[in-house]
Amino acid sequence: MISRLARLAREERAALLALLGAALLAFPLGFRENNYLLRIAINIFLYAILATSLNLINGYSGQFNIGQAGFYCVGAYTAAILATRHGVGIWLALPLCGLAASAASLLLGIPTARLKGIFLAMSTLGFSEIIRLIVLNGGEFTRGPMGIPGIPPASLWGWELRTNFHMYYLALALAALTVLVSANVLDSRIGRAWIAIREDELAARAMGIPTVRYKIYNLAFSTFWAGVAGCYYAFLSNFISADSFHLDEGFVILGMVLVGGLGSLAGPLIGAAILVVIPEIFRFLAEYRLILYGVAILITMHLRPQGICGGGVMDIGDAGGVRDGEDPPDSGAEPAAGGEGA
Amino acid sequence: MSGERILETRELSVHFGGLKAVDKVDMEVLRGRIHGIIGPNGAGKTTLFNALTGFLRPTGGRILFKGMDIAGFPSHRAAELGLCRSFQNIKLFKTMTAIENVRVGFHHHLRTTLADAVFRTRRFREEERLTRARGRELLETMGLSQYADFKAAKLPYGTQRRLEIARALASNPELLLLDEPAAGMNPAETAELSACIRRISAGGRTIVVIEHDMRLIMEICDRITVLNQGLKICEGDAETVRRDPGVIRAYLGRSAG
Repeated sequence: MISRLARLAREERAALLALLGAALLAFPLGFRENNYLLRIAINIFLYAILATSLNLINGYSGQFNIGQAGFYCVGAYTAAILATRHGVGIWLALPLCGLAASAASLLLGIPTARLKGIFLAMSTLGFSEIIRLIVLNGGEFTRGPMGIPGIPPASLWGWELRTNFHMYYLALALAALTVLVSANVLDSRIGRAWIAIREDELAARAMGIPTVRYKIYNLAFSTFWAGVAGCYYAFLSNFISADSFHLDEGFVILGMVLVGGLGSLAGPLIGAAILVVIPEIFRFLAEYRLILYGVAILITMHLRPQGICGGGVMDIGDAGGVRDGEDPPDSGAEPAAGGEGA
Repeated sequence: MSGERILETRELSVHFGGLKAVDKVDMEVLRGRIHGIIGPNGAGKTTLFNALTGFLRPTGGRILFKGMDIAGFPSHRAAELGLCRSFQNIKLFKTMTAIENVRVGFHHHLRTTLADAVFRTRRFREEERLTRARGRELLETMGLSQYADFKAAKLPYGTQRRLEIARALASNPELLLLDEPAAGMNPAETAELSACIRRISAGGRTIVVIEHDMRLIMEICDRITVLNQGLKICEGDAETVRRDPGVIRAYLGRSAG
């Protein structure tokens, strides 16, 4: 059934996207005062940005990062410090926080660019914790365990985005921007180089791709968006502390990418929606809700290891013409004689 | 044999501890020719290729490509310099389509930056159009047109091998290194491959090919280097190699010599 849905999605892509866009734009109009629903929607967009950014690494260049929360933290603290001490508004803060996260990623990326698999995963995990501990023990600069309160609301040409209703649209716009820019980069020689690295690093090098540089590039581009998400979060919540950036946060983001499907643009969005909504539905389970994340990942791994949208169901670029369901000519029992070669 | 030497090795050695995988090999490849490298298993053929393309740092000796010493260059630089290879065990980008595999091969000829890609600038659009069109041409050259939109992993074996060559050609190499391109092919596929290699050569490229299929080697190569246990034991045209007692000994064992 999923493949039939996927074919429909592929054929009617433009129409479906327009419909989805219209629905998302119209949604809050009916729930202007329903802060609960708006907050859930905002969380979905926020995590959609984070999961999309992580997917750029784990899904496209095929490296294994489980410490995305650290870069999210860098973005949030950069925003908080800029806004409370230097009076920087959200519009300038957004790109600056992205760049700050990218800069932090170089500290991780350059020394670990030659690590692979679980060794890389462990260093990303460690790095994420190091960032949190630095923030926690940062003295005056980060105010340690007290966190940074009093982040002013976002404003647009003097008009303050104070309500969840307004922040909903900002989150939607940022999520759309993240996906759009990522899609454009993925559908270029840069994205193809990342995918080539995922598929076969030696072959990628033989084709003239400087793989180490491209992996660092990939990490920096991905973490830019994590920084942007951190900035949004800081302006959304007015108060941040190191508590929000535990490793669990990184695991939740990873879970979204795994459930939604590595290496597809729609995957992290769907994963974010599912893993934000499920714990809300099961609120009565209180503390035990966290188990649901694990259960959701286990179920996905069992039923559909590539994730809901993974495995090329919704690819990028030329994928419109990919003939995935059918077999190529000459394949099968008969050895290929190939008519036109000789 | 006269002509310009496009590639030369001088006393090239690759040792792994005490194992001399390639030992002081002198080899000359002339521009525009098809040069074969043969030898029994473990002779050091692939190790030699790895050293030539920067995948292994030579222990000693020099590799002169168009007169420049490239020994120890990083592997991605080889493609930029005009040296591209295929692999003994097929290394395609499996989940990418045939055409996308080839388009990756154009990588170092393109100038698209991150900003170009994000804003879909004219440079981006032109380069995308160019790689798509040139990619299709290359697929056609290798007889792969009908496979363009299929994922590489789905293609029949012999087709995958030809796709690897098409991808290598996309980097527009002056020197193409093929590592056992006919391995696992049936006679019909091998014949087709042989025709492909000749066509590429006729287009002016120099080709070095490692192969176990003697018929293919004898048929297409202008010059053949024979390696055994890391040493060059013979070099010359097909006839010379066929008659060389050292070569016969290496292949058939000592008693035959």
